[in-house]
Amino acid sequence: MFQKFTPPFFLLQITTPPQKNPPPDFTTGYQYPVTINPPPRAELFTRIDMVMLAVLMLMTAYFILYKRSRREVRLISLFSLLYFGFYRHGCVCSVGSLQNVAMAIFHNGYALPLSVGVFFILPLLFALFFGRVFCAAVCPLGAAQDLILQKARRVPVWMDETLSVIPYIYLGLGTLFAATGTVFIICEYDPFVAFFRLSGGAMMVTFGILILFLSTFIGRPYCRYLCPYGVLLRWAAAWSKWKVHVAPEKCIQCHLCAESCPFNAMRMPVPDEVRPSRKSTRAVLSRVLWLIPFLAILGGVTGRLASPLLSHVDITVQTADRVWKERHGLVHGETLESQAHRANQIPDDLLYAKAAKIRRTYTLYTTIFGVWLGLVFGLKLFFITTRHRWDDYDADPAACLACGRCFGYCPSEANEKYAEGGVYIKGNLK
Amino acid sequence: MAAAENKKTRREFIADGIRTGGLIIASGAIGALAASSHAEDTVWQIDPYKCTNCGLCATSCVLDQSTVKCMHAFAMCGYCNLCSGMLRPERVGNTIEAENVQCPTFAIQRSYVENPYFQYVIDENLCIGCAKCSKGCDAFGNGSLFMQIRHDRCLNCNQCSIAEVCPAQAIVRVPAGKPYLLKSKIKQDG
Amino acid sequence: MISDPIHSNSPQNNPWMIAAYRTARAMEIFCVIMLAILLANSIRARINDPNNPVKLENLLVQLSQNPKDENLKKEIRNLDVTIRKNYFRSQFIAKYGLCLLIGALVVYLLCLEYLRSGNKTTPLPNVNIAKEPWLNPALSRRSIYVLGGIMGGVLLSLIVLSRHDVTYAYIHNDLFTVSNTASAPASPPPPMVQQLASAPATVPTAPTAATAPTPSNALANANTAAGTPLLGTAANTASSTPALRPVTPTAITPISPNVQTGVPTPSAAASNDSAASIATAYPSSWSNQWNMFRGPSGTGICTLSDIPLQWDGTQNQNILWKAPIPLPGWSSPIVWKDNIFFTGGDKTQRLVYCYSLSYGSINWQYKVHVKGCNTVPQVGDDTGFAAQTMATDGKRVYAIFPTGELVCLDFTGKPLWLKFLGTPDNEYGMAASLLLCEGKLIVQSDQGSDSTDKKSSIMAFDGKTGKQLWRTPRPVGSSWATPIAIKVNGKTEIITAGNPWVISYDPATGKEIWRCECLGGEVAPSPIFSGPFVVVSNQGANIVAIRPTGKGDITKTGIAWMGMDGLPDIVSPLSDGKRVYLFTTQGQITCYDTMTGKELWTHQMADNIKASPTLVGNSIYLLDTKGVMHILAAGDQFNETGKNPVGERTYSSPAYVDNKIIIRGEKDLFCIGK
Repeated sequence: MFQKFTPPFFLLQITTPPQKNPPPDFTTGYQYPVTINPPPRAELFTRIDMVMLAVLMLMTAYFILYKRSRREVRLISLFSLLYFGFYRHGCVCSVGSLQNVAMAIFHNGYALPLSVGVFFILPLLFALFFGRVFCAAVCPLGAAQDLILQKARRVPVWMDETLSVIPYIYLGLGTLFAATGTVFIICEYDPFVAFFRLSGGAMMVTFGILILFLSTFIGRPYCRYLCPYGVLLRWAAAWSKWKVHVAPEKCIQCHLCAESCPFNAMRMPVPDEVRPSRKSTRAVLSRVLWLIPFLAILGGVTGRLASPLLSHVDITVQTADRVWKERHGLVHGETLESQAHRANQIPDDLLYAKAAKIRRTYTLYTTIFGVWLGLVFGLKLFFITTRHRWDDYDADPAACLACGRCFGYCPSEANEKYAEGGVYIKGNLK
Repeated sequence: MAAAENKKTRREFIADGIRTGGLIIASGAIGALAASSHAEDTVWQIDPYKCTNCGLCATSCVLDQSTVKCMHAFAMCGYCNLCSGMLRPERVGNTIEAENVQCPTFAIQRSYVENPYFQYVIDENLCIGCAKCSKGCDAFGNGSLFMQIRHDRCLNCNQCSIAEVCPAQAIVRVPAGKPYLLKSKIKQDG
Repeated sequence: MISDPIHSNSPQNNPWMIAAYRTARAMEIFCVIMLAILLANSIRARINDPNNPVKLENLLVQLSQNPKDENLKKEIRNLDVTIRKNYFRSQFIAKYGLCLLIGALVVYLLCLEYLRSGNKTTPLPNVNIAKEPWLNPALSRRSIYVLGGIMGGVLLSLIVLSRHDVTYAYIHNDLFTVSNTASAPASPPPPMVQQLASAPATVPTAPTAATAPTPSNALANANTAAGTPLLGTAANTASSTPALRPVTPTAITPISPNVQTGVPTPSAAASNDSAASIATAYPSSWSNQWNMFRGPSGTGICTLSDIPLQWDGTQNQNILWKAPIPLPGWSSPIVWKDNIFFTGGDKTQRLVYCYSLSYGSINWQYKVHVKGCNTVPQVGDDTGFAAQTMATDGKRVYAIFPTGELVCLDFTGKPLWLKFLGTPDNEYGMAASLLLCEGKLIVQSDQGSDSTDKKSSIMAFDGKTGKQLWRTPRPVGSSWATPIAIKVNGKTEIITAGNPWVISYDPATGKEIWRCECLGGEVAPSPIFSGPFVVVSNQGANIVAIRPTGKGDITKTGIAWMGMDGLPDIVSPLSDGKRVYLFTTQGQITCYDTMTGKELWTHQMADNIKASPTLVGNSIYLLDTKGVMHILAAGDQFNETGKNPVGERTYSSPAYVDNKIIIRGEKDLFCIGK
């Protein structure tokens, strides 16, 4: 069962290898050189990060909800981009922290560090009270996209609603791989972190450039159509205590705020003549309600079937499969993984046992993931069908990124308050 | 009208409940984390006893020049005249020239100590973490050269991109308070 | 490039506006140039990559065919210099170029910001917007159906394409987590079938296959039913490979662990001879003392009940006394009645100390020098010159040092006999502690780099006279693990751990009883026993549970289970009879089930651990290097019930006696109690 490690044959061919030499007894009083092992960045920094996070969110909340001014928010964005992004290299961010939380909850033997916990919880807590002020200016990923947004093109509503399903899927997938302790895919495929670190693989840089290019004319594509943490913030912000309201007093139904919002985050009143009839809505609704449990079950079954496929992301499973194939002559040659497995003299049976255990965990988790997928699709259909009826224009608290662009556009606001940029334009509106 | 009013207050009531609950949960979780001594930050490190010197560290790190460097456990070193970490096994001579040495950047430097011993030191500014020297040392020498993540360079990404590809799964999270897994084994009665 | 508002709205007459506009344009051009430079640089870096020097490798291959070619050598050297130069230059350019680029971008954005503050356009209302969302709930729904359909289709086709991955037989052959308890020896059910039934059915046909009568049939059915001909052949070869080797059906009747009484249970041994009954081997007169490393049993089990639960060395709470230790050392204190013994040493001198348990005062000290011992071996700082723990039988105390000196003193500090065993050859210095077993002093002396050095041996001395009773050579290199003495089915054995052999010796004759090849690396954790198994573990190997019943080499037959997580490198494991706990120096605790080898839980402690843990009642006393004693409840999950600091770094294992704990700190000796 225990193979002796034999060096590859080409190593054996060399004549008189200098075999294991005992450390010498020095006679000249030689002292070993001292090796300095630099410590990781000071814990102080992570403390500063936490304080900075809270302070910046408070400032954003103050400027958005109380001062109703966008200019300062843009400066805060620039600051967080420089500090959290370029100075702190974008790690740990709240978006990635959700994986640490999932791993701490589901995977044995990982204790959640305090700073990571704070980065996960604080933005959600703020969202419960002030809306998504974290997205508005503090998140370096959001700031990077927001600052380079020039002239936003409106994404058609049907496309917007379809694409907004993706974050839920991404959240599920990220949690699945984090909970099994496999890999943090949300960090791995973070499009901006290559810029923050000033280096990265060609693939990721290309992806990053693509997203940045898109964000010059589409409002925050990553935040709206990928960000998994945004899903959680959405849930929290839906219940926020103080929300962004566009019209300070009475909405005059001018549509300007809806026009100004680059993120399709405005609720709009709808004239009766274009609204689908109550009867047809009810018919669709009953269909959708039947569909939800069916989709959940279908998703669960598919997830379970996909378990071997998804578990193959895990490197232990990969190694075990490879070693098994090699042992049974199904493949020829060795991979780095199977070489490492042999070099470390781990018995094959033990590797198989470990991989089997991981695969079993995956069977459960992928089933749950599948059910989640089914529910996401089903509930999305449900919410599209039962859309609420609004009398006035106002920001949807769940989707509103609290950027403050709409304030300057509202005529009633401009009539009585400072408008965007702090220029007093009362009575000066064209 | 009254029903609508009622409904609104009910929704408000639920929202207040959620917010209070969220506040309590959040402060409880943060408090528990702060109180727990296990909640120390973690950093990545290579377990030198698992590392197989495959060389992926050099190319997989997000940094242009890998954060992984070779380190030397001097107490384990044999101070050999001909160092298998320094010279290639299929060399044509024993001179320290490009055709004979392992290191692609000449980061391993040798100096005379006393007859017949030589000291080998790694220049970290030159080392690119290719693990050629530690592989040679492991194969024929005492294994005193080994790879470590150097924390003056490491950005401590939440997902280490080397850990992702490490075939031996040798890169692990360690507490930030003891960020190195050095290769001088501590011995006492066990 | 980015289309910015300044193109459409050129600034009017404000000179600042004009400046900002021009700066923005300049920055735009600068960014484009910088990007081009960086792109070119990164392409060049990829060509001149020292990690993959294709050209250089080719030249080297040429040179190996033609080793005398000086021109070729010159060419190689020049190319090497070029590659290195370009590599470091490109890194320099990348680093500073990107900094410049970002700086320029920031200036650009700030300029835009300023320009925007002067340019305000308000869009006109667009009436069509109002109709837009309500035109398309149906459209939205349709497009979501399409997205779901595409995703599901892709997923399903991937599943179909990768279906051959599903049939790996090892999933059903999970040897190490399957319980092998309570199967009657008369009619053992085919283990493969049992596992197929219990494993989750990734292959849908597996449960039906599970009804097949024999293991190989069941497997063949499972594979052919899955319709993969490749694996059919694999299954045929499988029966001979270790991957598919069924578990040898061994009947193990779980016996209650007998650590509390220290008396073997012959009834269990008689009723079922394939399951070993293991018990401690020390005389009952030792049970109130702490006379060896890890207590009288050598396995870290304290049978006393009234051990302090709470103290704080920093507040001087429940500290009876604190006494300075003159010389450093890693050896653990031992206690016999009112005497505490331990050793200390450095390069120049080595001493045995005797302190009073009641007062903390020093009773006597003895400076060791044995005739013949003239050289001081090189030892690691982390081992030092007093790493081995002493032992006492109540009449005499014994101490051994890394210099090879073995001394026996009486309780007044008078030397009875001295021995020089030869300067050990051990790269870190000797660390295995002394063992007393059936009136003999056992010295495990593992030296040399491997077994071919033939330097390792185990020796027994007569405690009274110091006469060597037997000496058995050991087929291992250096190790640092302390041996233990246990009773297997009523017969005393000495269990030793080394690389790679775990060997059991008869204490009467020194003859080997059984050996098992299952360890590797630099073995330092001591063996223990748990339930019917001897358990050994080490980093670089596995945790292995051995049935200590056979004779000769039992590697193939005696291993009950193995595990590979949380392997210790220094700290000895601990067992409460039902579970085995492993502790790494980095503070990871891993708990295994004794009977099945299943990993129950793991936990990461905040600090390093060097001292070996002790089980007191149902509590695990675990001392970390910061001097904090963690008290954990033994059980199926991690449960820390107490935390007591002494206020000094600690590396040695404490001694536990009636109402008191003796902790050796870096500088002081602490007596904990009320």
